[in-house]
Amino acid sequence: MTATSSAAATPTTQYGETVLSIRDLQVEIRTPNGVVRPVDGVTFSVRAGETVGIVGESGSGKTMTGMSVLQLLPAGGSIVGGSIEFDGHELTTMSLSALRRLRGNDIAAVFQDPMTSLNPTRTIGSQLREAYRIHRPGTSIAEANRRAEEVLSLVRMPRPKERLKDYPHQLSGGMRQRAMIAIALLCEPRLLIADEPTTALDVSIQAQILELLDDLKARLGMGIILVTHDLGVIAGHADKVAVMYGGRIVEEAPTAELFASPRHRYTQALFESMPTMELDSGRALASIPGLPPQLIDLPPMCRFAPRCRFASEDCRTENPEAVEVAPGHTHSCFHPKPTDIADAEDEHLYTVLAAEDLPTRGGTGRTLVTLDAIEKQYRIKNPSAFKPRRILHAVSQVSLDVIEGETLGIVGESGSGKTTVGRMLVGLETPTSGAVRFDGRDISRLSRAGQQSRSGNLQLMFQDSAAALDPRMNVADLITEPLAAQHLGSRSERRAKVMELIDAVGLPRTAAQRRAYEFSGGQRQRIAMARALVLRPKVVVADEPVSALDVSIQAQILNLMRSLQAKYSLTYVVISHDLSLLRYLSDRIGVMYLGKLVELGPSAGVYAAPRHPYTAGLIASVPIPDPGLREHKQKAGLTGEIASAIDPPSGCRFRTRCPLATDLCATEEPALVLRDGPHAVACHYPLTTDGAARE
Amino acid sequence: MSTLAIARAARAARRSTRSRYGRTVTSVLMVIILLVFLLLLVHPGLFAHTSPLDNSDDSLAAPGGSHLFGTDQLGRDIYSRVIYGARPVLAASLGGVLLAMLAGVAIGLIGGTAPRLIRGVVMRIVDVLLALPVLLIALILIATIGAGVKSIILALGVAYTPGFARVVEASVRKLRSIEYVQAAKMFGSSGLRTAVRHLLPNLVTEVVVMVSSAVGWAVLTATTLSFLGLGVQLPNPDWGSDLAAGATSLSTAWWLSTFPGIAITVTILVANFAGDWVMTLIDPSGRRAWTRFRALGGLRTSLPEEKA
Repeated sequence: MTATSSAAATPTTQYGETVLSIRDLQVEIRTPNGVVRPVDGVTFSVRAGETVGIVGESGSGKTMTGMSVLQLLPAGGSIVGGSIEFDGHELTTMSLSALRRLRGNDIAAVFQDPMTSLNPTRTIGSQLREAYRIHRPGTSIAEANRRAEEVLSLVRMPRPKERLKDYPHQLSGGMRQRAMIAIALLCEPRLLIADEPTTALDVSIQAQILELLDDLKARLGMGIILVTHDLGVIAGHADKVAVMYGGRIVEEAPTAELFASPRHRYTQALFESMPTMELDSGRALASIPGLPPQLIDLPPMCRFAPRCRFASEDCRTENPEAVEVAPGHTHSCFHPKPTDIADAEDEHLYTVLAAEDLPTRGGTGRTLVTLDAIEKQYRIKNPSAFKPRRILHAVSQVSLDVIEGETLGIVGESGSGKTTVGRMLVGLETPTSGAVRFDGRDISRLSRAGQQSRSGNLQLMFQDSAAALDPRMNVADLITEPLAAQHLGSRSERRAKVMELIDAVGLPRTAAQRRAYEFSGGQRQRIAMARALVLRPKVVVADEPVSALDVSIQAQILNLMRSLQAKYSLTYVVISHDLSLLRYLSDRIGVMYLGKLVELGPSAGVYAAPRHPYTAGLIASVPIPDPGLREHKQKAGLTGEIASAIDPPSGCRFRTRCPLATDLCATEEPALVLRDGPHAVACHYPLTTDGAARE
Repeated sequence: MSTLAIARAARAARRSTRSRYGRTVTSVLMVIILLVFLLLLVHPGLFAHTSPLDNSDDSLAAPGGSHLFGTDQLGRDIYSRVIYGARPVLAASLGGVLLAMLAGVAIGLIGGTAPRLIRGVVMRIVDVLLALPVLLIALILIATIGAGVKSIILALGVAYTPGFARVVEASVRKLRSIEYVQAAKMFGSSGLRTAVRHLLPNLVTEVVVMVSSAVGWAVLTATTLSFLGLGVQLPNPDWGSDLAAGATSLSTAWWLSTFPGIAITVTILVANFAGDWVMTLIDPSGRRAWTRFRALGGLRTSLPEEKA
């Protein structure tokens, strides 16, 4: 950490003059099916020292808006109307060479995936030097090096001088994103476009990067356009928010104002379809039916009308005008959410789940699956020759019970071993030691015949449904694949099963003959769900079931998972990095860190009163969609990054990042022990309910 | 993410608008050309009325007149010799590549799925084969079983097998880590079944690319062997041996070698174009981009995400 890390030292954000102003921007992409208009009349402005958040689902045009500022549109795309004025210069008519001088110099960008944005064959230092010397011709290498080091320390890269000689693959994801931001900041841009800058990162790293951006904005007086799908990120870090839908800004307001009283029906639906940590799990999530519109040849209409409960005739025939309801707060909706009704409940979009759709919470109490001190080690090559292979401890001594009918959530950062636990449950990995017991029988080391009977009991829903469904098979074949593999049932029996499951997961029957790639992400996840259920398993392990989906589609899948749980009496093990999702979905949560289960308890308990400092830090890192909590939760998150699983820290593995660690933590490993009821924690100094360490 | 997808779809779509019309034309043309080659292989008499072995009085006649491509030293019609000469070349190269493909895919599948030890042994043998020059393999085989189309087929088969095996092995190992193959394992699918249902269909693209370029190379190798006198023996027609026979008198009678040479070039080009064309027909990603776009217009809006 550098001495200048505290944002508190600088005065709170002062807005300067307008850096960027976009008026009525129109972008077109020519395709054979017609002209797509991903951006259709967007107007907003960014002032110095201000963060403007653009939020929307995929296909809403938020990324295209950012890209048109840089004039980096995909092939076939062009700006056909409106103006983009940066610092008094009109960008839409600017010459290419002038644009090149501007890009990277006055306007810089940070993209989602730092791995593909950095050249893997060149060192960080050489990429920084290059970027600097392009815009500052005539600078010496030594000077560029000095600047590179300076910028790396500005983005709080640990040991910046050594990092200059590193290649991108030698850095962790968070450090790579820091390097990307460093490149963006080299020439002290006046405008930074951050397109999903933290989507690929873990929550604890995400919190660190976003805080860094806030700090840099205050110190350098940049304007930032923060493009994201995550309302929590917006709430914590944007000053002003533009909500985009179907290529248009449907609502724009100062952040606090927007979250306090969203007026557009889409904004309202977006808020309500999010599984927040406070949400009552007895309630279904509001889901927005249908899919975002295809932006081809649309007549004048409210883009959201086909999915809107409140839409009337005028919504379908006229473009709604922007209405200003408060200073800086505009929306374009014919039937905005009223602000003055007393009985606000009537206006909500969610439905309360019917009793028969709700699974019994907590399960039946009978233990179905037991993990008995399972351990998974991988032998990996030692980079130096003639040295013995090294051992990566992916999962170490994890023991837990899965109770019939419950939903057990397993949460952790990447590298925590949560996915490996899931794979060992379904037999894709064999534990190095320990056993997985189903109904008391050890099922971790089975022959192929045994594997077949196991797959009738335990099924996995893969994280990436696009990769998990064979592109050369149609949906009916995909769903019956498990039956065919085990030679179960006749052709007509299988067909009947397919139809039953296609109905159960809410797909149209015509889907059976299509291939998986013809479907959207949410529909593919439904196909994957149907396939997982065809053998009538008792337990379904879902690995990040909705992480690739948009918020509104996420809600549909989560609601589906819950109703299927009741219908087929399923037990779920849900693996996710998303704590708020698990808080909503699961009965119990297990928290994993670096291959260890560090905390296990009822989800409400784990969330409200975490016992392990890691869990507490994780909860504090989750961006909460409530701008009011912004000041309150600053810097409460985790520092540093997850340690290496090749040579894990001695004693407690979390001690390297733990604020409470003592010598005892380094020498003695804490065991997972029950304290006060069903809530177990593996920590020498567990937290009490008020957040302080217990003496 | 979303932007990239749109950009990719737009690019694919532009390609498809430009050629949706052209695609049909290409397909019709390709089918006709391939049919012609098939007929050349099974029934060359359809295209030439004179026998390639008939000596006319007219020796070394220039192209034109009653002999379209001219005649050679013995008065044999070059056109007819080029037409009939296709058969041994096509039979040898197609047969050789077919043999190599079958053997290579089988070895590649074994190499890609077998335990480490077996894989190591199999793939090192493949490496050794890969290092042997094609002509040397051919010479050894011809020396042991005699000259002729059969030994050329065998030689080409042996020579091209390692190439197929290497590519297939690498793809299989990549495919095995993909989730749908893992899913099959989880359902309790047997190794053989997984290979047939999931691995093979997804290898088709790679294999087609390999076959089309291998056929091109095989045509060249087969004619080279005949050129060297190791393949079809004179007086039987063959592009390679005719090329050799005319090579000495190239300055006085250019047509003797030129027409067989052009025939070889055209065949190799057709093999490559045919490979590209077949690939556009079967490639799931190409089709995916296309279907996705079709889907953008119709399907996705007609399928309700949430049933009411």
